[in-house]
Amino acid sequence: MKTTKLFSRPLFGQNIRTYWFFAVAVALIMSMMSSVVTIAINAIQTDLAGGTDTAIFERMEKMGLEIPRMDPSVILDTMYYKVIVLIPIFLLVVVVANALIASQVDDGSMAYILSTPTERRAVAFTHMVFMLLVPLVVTGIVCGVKCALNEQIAGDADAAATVVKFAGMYVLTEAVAAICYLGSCLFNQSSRALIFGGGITVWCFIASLLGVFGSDKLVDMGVGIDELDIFNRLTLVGLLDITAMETVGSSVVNYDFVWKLGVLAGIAVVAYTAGALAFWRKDLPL
Amino acid sequence: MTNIIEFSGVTKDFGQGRGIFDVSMSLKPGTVFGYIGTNGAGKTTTIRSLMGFLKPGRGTIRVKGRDAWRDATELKHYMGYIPGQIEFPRFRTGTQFLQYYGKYLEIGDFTYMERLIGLLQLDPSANLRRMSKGMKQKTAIVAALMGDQEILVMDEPTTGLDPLMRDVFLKLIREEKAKGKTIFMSSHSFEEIEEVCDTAAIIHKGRVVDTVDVDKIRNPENKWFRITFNTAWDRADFVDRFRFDTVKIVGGRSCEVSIPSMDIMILLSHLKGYLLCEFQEKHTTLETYFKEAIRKGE
Repeated sequence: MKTTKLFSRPLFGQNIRTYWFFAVAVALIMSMMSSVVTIAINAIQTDLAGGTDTAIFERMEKMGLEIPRMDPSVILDTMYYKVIVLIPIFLLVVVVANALIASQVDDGSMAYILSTPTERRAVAFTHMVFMLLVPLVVTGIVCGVKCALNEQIAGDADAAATVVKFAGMYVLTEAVAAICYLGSCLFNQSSRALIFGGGITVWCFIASLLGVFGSDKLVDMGVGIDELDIFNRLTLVGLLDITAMETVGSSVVNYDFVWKLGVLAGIAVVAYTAGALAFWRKDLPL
Repeated sequence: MTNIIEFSGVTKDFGQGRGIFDVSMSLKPGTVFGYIGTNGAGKTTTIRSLMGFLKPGRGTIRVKGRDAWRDATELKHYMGYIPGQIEFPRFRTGTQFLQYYGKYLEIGDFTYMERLIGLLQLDPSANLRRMSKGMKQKTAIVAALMGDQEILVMDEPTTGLDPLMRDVFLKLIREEKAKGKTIFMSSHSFEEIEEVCDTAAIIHKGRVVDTVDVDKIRNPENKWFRITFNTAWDRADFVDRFRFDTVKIVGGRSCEVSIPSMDIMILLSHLKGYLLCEFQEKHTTLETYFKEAIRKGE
């Protein structure tokens, strides 16, 4: 019998067996949401391009009247990346992070892993790898679906900006997942871990929802409120710079999104490391 | 022979008097060690510390000469464990769980596991979550023993077992002892500790108040007899004529006499000629010993 020092294959297999259905369900829901949003955006844009609204706006501009152009597809696109698809994947990472460690310590089932020659750090690392891979696979699937939908429905064959936006969303998801993982490692009571990880996630989500209405795009269109922009600075989702990412593939790329993703990646690294160290050293009531 | 398990001044203080304090005890290889105490006395804390799940605040626990906290993982090669609180990982059936647990222990041959399942009359194909307490306990026993490790640590292993299964379990423990295994088990049941253990430690309010050689309780050097004579005069005459070291007068016609186990024939010869109403051996049980130890520890 050898000692498992860093990565436990049985534990990883057990995690896959337990959570594959949940992950597939989340990927399906996100894909369905993507379909609906892509169809809706395309319909809105077709409507705007072929409708009388453009003529009215041009005539009013000639008369010297400036009326903000309302494009609901812009609102929907911003909401898609910063609110809509984040709901299922945030739910996934909150539930899985809690179930992998805190819940098993709380109910005592972790005893059956740690009473075998499996190092605590192997348990922490194996769960961490799982937390890194599951959102990657789910985000990858949804990204593929979204690119295909963009090509088929909107006729947009340039997938670069979409891929970058999903990559950014993955980094954001990992920052949230790492915070939930940290909570799960810190607390022996599942409820406390859930309050910590879930609480921060819910806050990020609500602040993001409010922040969308403070974003420059919506304010420029006259439907946003400038003061709500403060919420974009109070949530991790605010570091997902969709506006800058949209410039990828164009002639002038705004690289502002890179440092923001760097901050999110840094948060993920720090939280995962702190969580693993806490789990390695703490008392376990098993 | 060196000790296989050794606690030296182990303290784990959770505050408000909870925890274990200055616990010192040792086990020789091949010993069955019983650990008894009331609820909240510190049995589970001791066992969790032994398994390396809790880090002692003071003192050390050494298993096979290695530190139980620092070398916890390496020591799991030699230790099987039944936790006090039985909750299994998320598997659908007991079979799935045992197979996966076997993978962790790198068991290739499941013959011994099958034998244990047969002995305990366990149906492992049942839904793990819906198993009764007894079924869960049997599954935990199979998991702890299937690795055939050198040391078995068990926190109240017979909880939830019916009397027949309890006997099967005790038979298993005797088999494991015969193989030379070292067993550390906590229990509420004095009978089972008395039946299978070589040594028992009594813990009360986090402190080990006594360690007892269980064989001396099973086969004491001195035995107590309660004798009731036909008349009070006979009792007085008996006590006067035969000066035993330990005699207690109990009521007018009765007395209790303690004599070395070997000298029972001498006592019987002394009693010849008296008309007796009652002659009864008073068996000292682990329970009475425990109560006495607790009383002294208060």
